[in-house]
Amino acid sequence: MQEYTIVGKRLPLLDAVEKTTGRALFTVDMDLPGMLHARILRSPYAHARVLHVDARQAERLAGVKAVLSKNNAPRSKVPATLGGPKEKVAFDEKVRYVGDEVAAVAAVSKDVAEEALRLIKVDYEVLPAIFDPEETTKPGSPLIHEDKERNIAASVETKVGDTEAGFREADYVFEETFRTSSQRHASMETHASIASFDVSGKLTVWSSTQLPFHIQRLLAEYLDIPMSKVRVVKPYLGGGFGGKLHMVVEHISALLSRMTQRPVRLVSDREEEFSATISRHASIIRLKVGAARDGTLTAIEAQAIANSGAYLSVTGPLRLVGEGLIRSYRCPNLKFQGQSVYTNLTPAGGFRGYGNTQAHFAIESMVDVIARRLGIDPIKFRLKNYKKMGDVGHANTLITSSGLEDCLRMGAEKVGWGVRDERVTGAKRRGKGVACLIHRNGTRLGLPDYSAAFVKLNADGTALLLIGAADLGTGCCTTLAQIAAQELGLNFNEINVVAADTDATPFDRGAFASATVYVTGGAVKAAAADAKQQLLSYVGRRLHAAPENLEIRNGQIYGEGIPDKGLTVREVAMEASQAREGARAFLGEASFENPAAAHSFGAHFSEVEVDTETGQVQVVKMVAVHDIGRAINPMVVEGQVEGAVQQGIGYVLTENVAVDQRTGKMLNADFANYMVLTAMDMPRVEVGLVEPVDPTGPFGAKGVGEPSTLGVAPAIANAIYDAIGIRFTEIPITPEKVFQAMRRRE
Amino acid sequence: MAEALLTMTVNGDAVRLVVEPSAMLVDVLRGRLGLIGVKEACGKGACGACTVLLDDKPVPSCVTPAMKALNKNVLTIEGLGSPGKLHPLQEAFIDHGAVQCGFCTPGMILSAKALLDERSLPTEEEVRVAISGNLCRCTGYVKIVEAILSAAERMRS
Amino acid sequence: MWDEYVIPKSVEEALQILQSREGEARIIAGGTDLVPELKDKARKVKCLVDISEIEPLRKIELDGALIKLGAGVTHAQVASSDLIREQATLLAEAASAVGSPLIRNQGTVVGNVINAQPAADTAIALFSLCAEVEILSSSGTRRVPIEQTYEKLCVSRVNSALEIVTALYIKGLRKDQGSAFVRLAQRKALALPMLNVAAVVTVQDGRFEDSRITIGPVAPLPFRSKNAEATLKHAAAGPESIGKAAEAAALEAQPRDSALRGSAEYRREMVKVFVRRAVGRALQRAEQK
Repeated sequence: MQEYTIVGKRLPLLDAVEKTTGRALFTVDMDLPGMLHARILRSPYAHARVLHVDARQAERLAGVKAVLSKNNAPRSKVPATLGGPKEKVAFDEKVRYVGDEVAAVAAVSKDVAEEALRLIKVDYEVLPAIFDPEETTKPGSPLIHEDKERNIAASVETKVGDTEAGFREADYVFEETFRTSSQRHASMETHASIASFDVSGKLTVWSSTQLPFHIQRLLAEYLDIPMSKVRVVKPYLGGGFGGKLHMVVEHISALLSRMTQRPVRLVSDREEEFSATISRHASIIRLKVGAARDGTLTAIEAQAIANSGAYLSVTGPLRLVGEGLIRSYRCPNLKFQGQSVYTNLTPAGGFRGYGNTQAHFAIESMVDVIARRLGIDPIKFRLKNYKKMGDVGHANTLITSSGLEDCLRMGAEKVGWGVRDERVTGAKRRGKGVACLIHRNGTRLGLPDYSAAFVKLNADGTALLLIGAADLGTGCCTTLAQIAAQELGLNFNEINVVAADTDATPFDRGAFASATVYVTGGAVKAAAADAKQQLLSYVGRRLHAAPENLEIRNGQIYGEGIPDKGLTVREVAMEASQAREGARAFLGEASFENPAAAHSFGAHFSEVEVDTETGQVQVVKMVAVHDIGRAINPMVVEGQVEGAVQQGIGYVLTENVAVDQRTGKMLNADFANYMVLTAMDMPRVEVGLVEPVDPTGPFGAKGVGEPSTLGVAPAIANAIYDAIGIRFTEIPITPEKVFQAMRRRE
Repeated sequence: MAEALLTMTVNGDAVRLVVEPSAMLVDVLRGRLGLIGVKEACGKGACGACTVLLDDKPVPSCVTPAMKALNKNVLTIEGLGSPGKLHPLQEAFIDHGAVQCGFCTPGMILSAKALLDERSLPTEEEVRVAISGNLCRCTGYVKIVEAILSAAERMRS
Repeated sequence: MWDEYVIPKSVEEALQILQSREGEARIIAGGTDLVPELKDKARKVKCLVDISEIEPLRKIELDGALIKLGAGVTHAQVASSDLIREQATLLAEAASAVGSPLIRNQGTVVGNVINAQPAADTAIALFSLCAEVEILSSSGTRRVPIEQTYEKLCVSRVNSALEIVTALYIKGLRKDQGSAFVRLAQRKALALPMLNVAAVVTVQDGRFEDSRITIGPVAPLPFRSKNAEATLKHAAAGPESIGKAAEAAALEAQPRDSALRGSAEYRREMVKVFVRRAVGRALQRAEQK
């Protein structure tokens, strides 16, 4: 594998100094002159008609500048996200979950806004509510959206071959139902937005969004303003994980700003963040797999119900559940039927993994069941049946590279596969589990998937990378700068990055589907190559040298025709900017579409220790080996994987979402009771990277943001089985569930 | 409106403010003194983002009445090193990739500083206990722990 | 939230302020429980009287045969105190388990008692230490056994608008005594307990002489399992008697179903496991001395 001077290096983040010195400005840190503070009045009921909103007293309260409700808010539906339906009217005639928006106030302070909320009088007609995703589609269930029969928000069906025949052919047929819970992103920064109209009617929005360019378009559409009058800026962003792919606060702050002609800041508090933004789809997956005695799969049939909550938000996760279930393994006969259903709960939407996480829990658990039943080693089974390079993977896309075999081999070695820790005594039992993973980079053939980049040279030969990409802590600004510097031939400290401002930077697809490095990186590489080409053409003309015989390395130009004393990029840039004749600027640009939606692979191994007296499961060690194509910045990649382990362990063991079954209210909407792992709870984590160098990614790179979540839950569930011989098909696997299961077995 | 006089030292500077008696320390630091490096992420003292050092002890400033800082020393992240002259902990966080989104970082570093001021060569277990009240959703704490142990070594020599 | 924040220099001054405000003032120490409640508007108060700066209240010290913990003593102080770790080990263990280092730096042990929660870690340990609470009011100073300061679930008999708890007194453990504090929670920090058990045992000639076993949350108040204690009395100190005591405790305890922290059935089963573990470890420590 070719080595590079900048790409592949463990460079610190470009913005790490700002973050470690407290100088990084997040949306909630920004203050504008005359800025108002907004708060939202939320429904206490899971399902109700909003008959009457009387805001007069609130409006009269000193310091209140505007109140929004169904009395004065636009009746048009909010286009909430890319690829999402327009289904929700802001401040609707009806509320559909505890926390749904009823009114909003902009006031001179948060305290005054809070007080104003208390003065708004609302008449509700409480309606029966439904929370169960299987009950909700039965006749007689309360209808949540008038135009959606039986509370079915979306349906997906896929069929290949003949599964009936496949099952008849099989020597063994396995059937299992898996249940995965909802999850909350719990980003440390909550949703925040500042909206400000200037005197010319131009709207500027600073937002904690993962999609500044889509928000720009969606806001322009919703407010009926031309996009040239909408600017969206993403300041520092404190985590998103998919929760900030949806327009949750931006449009409300914009409406209030338009009403008051003052900047308005709207920040979710932690309770709202947990209960009234976006969540992960809970799912019920029925999986039936047919296998021959030698382990070949003959048929896979799956039905899935994704609990979409009060609003659909996006159909994508349902689709991806299907892909993950039926397209990860080689099998000729496939069938998937999925439904996203409405319930009166917190809406579900984007969450790292996006349906593939749910699918992986099911399919990787099932594969473990099958392998054990057939007496085949779980790793060998996967090597035999997993999709390989050249196969068609997810979403009808060809697999362009795969390092899975190396991932499994490396991971097995690191975790000590095949060796049980017999040192444990008394009530403790240890076990090891494995899970594979596959995830497509980007939304090619589904949603528009392209980004653009500018590489601008300054007169002193340093460069600026202008990208619309939203760095939410993923370090993408640094990674993309590495790609630019490497391609252009500058030293890393000669390039700076400006990002995520719809006025100043070119279009970016947004931070989702694990494709920033893969797609935006491609745009950056192409833009840098374009800038380099312009530079070398200029040099070629000036020195009568052929540009194709020239190259740039470390800020110097080399090749045929270059004088002995050498030539620096700095010298060229200075000359070009000052020449009396022939002066020019150098600006590289590219618009780049996802070329092939490469698939990222990986293998997760887990060692757990189960306390058979209490049912507590301790993860002792987590080994995560990822086929990253090429790691542009290995330190950044490791960080992503390690963070995903924390979220994955929470998903499978501790992050229960408790909902009051009578009222539909989330009971643990705070950090004390929603159990994300603390530093004391994390196991030993070992990350391995495999680099098969994908032919379609920039320098061979592929994505890791979501792949890193996929194997944690099933590896742990499989390890628990290895430890105590009990298969858990429902997550989270709490101590109580383990205890009861062990009891029942006795 | 009720008033109280709050005198304290913040990042080495004497401060004298008239505050509401029920003001929280986080609001005085962020709102009145512009120290936006002090973050608020939950308002209930349950996540550690608002950690500041009060007379050298890490406290949750979002549930600490500002008046508890009367005549005391407060250290926020802004008082620890500066661009160009970073504290070893800040350097270690940067070098080890222990920073992702950066929202938990100020509080995390201050909890670590309090530990290292007490205990110059902590064990990994002690590091994990010291930061157990600082939640992070991005890093899994792996490189944070590595960075703190590394800074401890650096500070010792 | 409040209009006045006063920081007296002595308990007498604090008491005087309380009296002059006629019920509109309230004592605050660390505030880690009180401030979130006041922010939530679950409570209202006009004046807070902060006793955390009163020097004598911040001490852990020997007072004759007893150990005295002032009302300003924090969980962090207790967790790191050599005196407590040696002579009241379970209390140091309990204090280390509270919340997080940030909470432990502010929150006081006395505050934990006043909050009258059924599973407050240090209170559970204090029950097994038969702690006494010293209260100062306009009628003077009195000492009461800790359990008498609990009125009902989350309500203390101490009226923080009129009286001040000034100290806790515990007897240090003797050579023939061992202690342990164990806890079941969903994660290792920042978690309220699903169950906690504090055990102190006295062992003489291979027999349990005296034991105090407190469990939470299995009743509205920290719960001394008298049946478990009775089972152990004079019994041969070992796994058999411990097992019986654990069974007795599980029968006597009445945990509730919690949507967040486990069903009654599971917690009852865990009472058995954790009483066994707590008493077993306490016995081990007694034998080691």
